[in-house]
Amino acid sequence: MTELSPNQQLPNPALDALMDRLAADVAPVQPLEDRPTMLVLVTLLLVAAVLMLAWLGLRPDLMAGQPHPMFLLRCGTLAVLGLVSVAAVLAQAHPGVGRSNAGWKVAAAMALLFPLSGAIMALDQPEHAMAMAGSASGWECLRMSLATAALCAVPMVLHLRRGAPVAPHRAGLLVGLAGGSLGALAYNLHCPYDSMVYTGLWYGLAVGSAAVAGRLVVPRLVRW
Amino acid sequence: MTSDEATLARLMCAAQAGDAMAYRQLLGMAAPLLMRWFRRKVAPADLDDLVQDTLLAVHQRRASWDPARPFLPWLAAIARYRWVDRLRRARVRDADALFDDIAVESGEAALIGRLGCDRLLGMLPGPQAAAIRAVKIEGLSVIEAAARLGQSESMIKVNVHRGLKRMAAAVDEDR
Repeated sequence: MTELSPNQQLPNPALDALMDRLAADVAPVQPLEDRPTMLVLVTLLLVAAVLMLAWLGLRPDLMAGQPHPMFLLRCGTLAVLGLVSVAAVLAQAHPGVGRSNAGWKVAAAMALLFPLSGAIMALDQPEHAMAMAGSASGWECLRMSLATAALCAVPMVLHLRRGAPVAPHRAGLLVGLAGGSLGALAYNLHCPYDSMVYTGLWYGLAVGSAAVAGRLVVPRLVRW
Repeated sequence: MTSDEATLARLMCAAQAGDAMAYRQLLGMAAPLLMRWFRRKVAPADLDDLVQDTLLAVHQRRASWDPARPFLPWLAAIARYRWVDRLRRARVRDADALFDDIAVESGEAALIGRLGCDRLLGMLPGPQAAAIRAVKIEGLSVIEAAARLGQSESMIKVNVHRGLKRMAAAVDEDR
């Protein structure tokens, strides 16, 4: 058995050579900043929202300057979930043991109230639920939200690739959650429906499927 | 010079600015820390490889350290990530060849305890942690581990798989 004092190390030529080589190769690096990624993300989201509105149009109640409470509730929930998830994604690029980024779980739990409430109301109003499930606008909601989510995911994935995410699956889930929330937030500006069943089903599907896609696809893009 | 947080953070700041001497000093301080974190967490034959692997990761990902945040938790996260990755890839080894160079713990035991690998293993349920220690760290075969731990062979495999998955998901957590 070999005993070492705290500061004593056995000679290790290979390790010394590696450290010498790394030190000789060191070049200045700019610490990874979150702000440029945030700016690109906000710009992309705005462009997507403007294009969507130019194509599909603004909600009638917004045109009239009298937003419906459901629109405001969706806006608030999706904006909070999106912002908290984006912050968690950016933090994943700067690892650190003990850094807590659990806020997204609370936001996601709150957002789950929409699909839960929608499901309860669907049980009470099955005919309305069937009509909402068969709505052509629902598929449009899903398509537009997911397309915007994919666009928003690009700067987040690039940010993670420049960083050092140590939990790639969580990072992927968060990218999907953030992208899905922001995509649904953009579509919400057009969406003419105010039904809780519709919101719970189609918005829940958009955010949920984006999160699942992120969890499945992103880890292989950011693993190092 | 002592390897305290403030010194390491100052050296890493200089390293990000391209100061080769400061960077060499930083690596020279980080290597023994890593040796102590990883000792008895991998087979001795793998210790050097794992430390080198971690130093390379530090080098490649040095831009991800935020100078506004502490250095050691960042280093610990990188180290844990490489360690869990190494455990996943580890094969069963000959138990007789293990742990013939057990070293004395240093005065940094508290720091190592807070940031090191034991804490990550400690987050797992007992049977999962025991199975990983036996099969992936001590190098016992599944049959030997099953006999020692009183778990079935299939349960040993399941516990190793689930434990490593859980550790990979909790690399940056500190409960």
